[in-house]
Amino acid sequence: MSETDSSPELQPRFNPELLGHEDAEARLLRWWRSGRLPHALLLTGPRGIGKATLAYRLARFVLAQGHDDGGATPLLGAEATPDSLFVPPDAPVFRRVAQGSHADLATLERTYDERAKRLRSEIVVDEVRRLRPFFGATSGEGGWRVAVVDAVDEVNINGANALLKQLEEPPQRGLLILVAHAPGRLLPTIRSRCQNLALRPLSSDVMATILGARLHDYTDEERLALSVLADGSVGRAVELAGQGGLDLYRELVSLLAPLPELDVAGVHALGDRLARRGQEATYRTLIDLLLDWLSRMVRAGAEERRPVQILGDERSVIDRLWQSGRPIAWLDAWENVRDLTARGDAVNLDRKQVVINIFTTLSNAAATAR
Amino acid sequence: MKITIERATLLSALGHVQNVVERRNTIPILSNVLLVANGSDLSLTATDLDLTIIETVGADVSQGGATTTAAHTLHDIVRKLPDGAQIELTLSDQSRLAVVAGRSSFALPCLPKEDFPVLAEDTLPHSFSIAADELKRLIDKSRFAISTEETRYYLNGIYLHAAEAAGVPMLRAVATDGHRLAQVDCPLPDGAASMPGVIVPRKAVIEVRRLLDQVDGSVQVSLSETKIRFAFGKSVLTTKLIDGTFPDYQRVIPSGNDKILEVDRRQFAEAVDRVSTISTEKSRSIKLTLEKDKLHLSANSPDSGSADEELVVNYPGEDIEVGFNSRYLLDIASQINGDSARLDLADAVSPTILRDVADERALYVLMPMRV
Repeated sequence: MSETDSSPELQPRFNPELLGHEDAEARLLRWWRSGRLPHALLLTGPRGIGKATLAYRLARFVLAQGHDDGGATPLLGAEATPDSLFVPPDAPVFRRVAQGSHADLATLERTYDERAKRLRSEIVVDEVRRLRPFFGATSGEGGWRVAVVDAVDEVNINGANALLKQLEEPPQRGLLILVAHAPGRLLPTIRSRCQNLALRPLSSDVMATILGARLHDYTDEERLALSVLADGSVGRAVELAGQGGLDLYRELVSLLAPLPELDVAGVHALGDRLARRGQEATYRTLIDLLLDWLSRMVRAGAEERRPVQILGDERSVIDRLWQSGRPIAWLDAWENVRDLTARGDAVNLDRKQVVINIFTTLSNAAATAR
Repeated sequence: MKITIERATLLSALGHVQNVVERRNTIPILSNVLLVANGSDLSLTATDLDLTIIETVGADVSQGGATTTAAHTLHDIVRKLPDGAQIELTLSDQSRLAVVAGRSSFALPCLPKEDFPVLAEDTLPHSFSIAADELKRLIDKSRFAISTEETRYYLNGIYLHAAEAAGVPMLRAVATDGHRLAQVDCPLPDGAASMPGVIVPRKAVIEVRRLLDQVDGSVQVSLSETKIRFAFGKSVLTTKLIDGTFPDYQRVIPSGNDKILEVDRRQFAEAVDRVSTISTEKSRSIKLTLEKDKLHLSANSPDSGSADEELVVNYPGEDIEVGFNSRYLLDIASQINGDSARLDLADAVSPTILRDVADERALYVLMPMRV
């Protein structure tokens, strides 16, 4: 989630609150209390649901326990046992974790490439190799040593092998927390050496609460729309909101409305806009929104129920296009759109051409579906 | 916070601590030095998350307080101020530190002291005092053998522990990189008998050694199983240790080497140096051929030719041929201060012991090379 939130207080290491993962938290706490916290944890689930937030929450908790090893039952049962992993934001541990100045916490993220002047696209092996001296040294504050890898999907193959070395020789009182958006893509040897803890997408109630606190400038209806579009991922919802995802979606629906007729002027205008410099992110968002829309149509067709509408005025469009039957046409369209964008990326095609191509495909699909 | 301090005092204190601060830091607070004004003292703390140096100096404190600001910038400013200047440090609001001296004034951005790393002031149960010269000797004679190889991280430091030599308790420093080993003893200070064996990481060794140049008298050493602290008067260095088990080095020190060679240390070092000019850049190997009272050094290289030199030595034993890495031989020879060096050899493939004839408390082990 680190790349979706730009303001520091929303980044996982600064975030004291975690909603919607009470089960996972309770489980971690149970492991801690019984002294059976695994040496390596793999937190999996879609992007933007709070995996890294949970990782830092656990890291802070473990670091705040000092010399305690977990599992110790207080002799007289008098000491209060913690009932959550919460560490208050004004606690020294919290502040040092947030600033990256805790001697017993190592964080692996994509680093800034001074030469290319941008964030690297992967976590490089030298970063991973930092873990060796880190876990090879005694702890600075006397307790546990924790390393957070956010996200392990971004670790390149050399880095993954270096990480494996670390997983194979877990140090005493050392905890390695790996955050993974797509665990299937990891080396099986990494997966098998970690305790997997799968986090589920957030429920709509939780989404409503979090978005209510984070997106003040939106109406309830807009927040709901964002939450459905984001499919249970707060990170995605905030990112969508930041990129004007709702307006983009409105525009998308208005272009879908006349199908199979093509709103040529509208499509060209959109294509022109997205082809401009710096519109890469908007282009991606549009493709994602469209693919999601198509998959909702396909899924609804397969389940024989009406697709959910996201904006108030979307109903008639969906109904018309969906009731024309043949969800298989939309499945083909979904595949075609994916192929088109992938090919466009591979040979660096003009984004406008890709957009026009996509809408032609959609128009054909709508014609076949009829 | 509002204090006045003399330039020279502040400069030397900053000079001591700022070395720890790395020039390039992705984490802003790690570039900073923590300044704490209290009573009539100013304490300066710098850290790289592995080790911390705190230096306390006298200052005229009119208002106590604490903040952190960029270490190198502050050091540069103080360095450039005229000698004898009185420097006034004032923290007006939490985000700016005013540095004023004469007509110069600077405002430096600050970060809150709460964000500054802490290497916990744990209780360090074992404590002893050691003469600065002894500690210097322990470090100097052993640190050349510290390994730089990251895979065997437990060799990246000096193993400091209590041991016994010929029935006398000793404080012993051992370092090895798998090819050579240095073992240096000094009499065991009071209070060190029960100390756990600890591996002091290379970076801390270098910093401690640097600080040792500025003290005479004694150094107070306190340690636990996870940390060691060296207190040199005004400055205190605390470091993490290497978390690992140092190998059982006693097993690699041979006891049955019966071919004893005694050689003039200086002649030997010079000859090795000369002959090694020829040995290849990569292997640096030279061959030692021993006959009765004669040592023949030679090197051969397909590219650069060959070299031979003969030394008159004291060697009663049988003929033997053995190869060594010339750089390792020179490293060890330069640690020997006495006039003559003694080599205890067994054969061409077994470890050799080198020592200073005049100094029983240091010993080096060197693995031979096949030549």
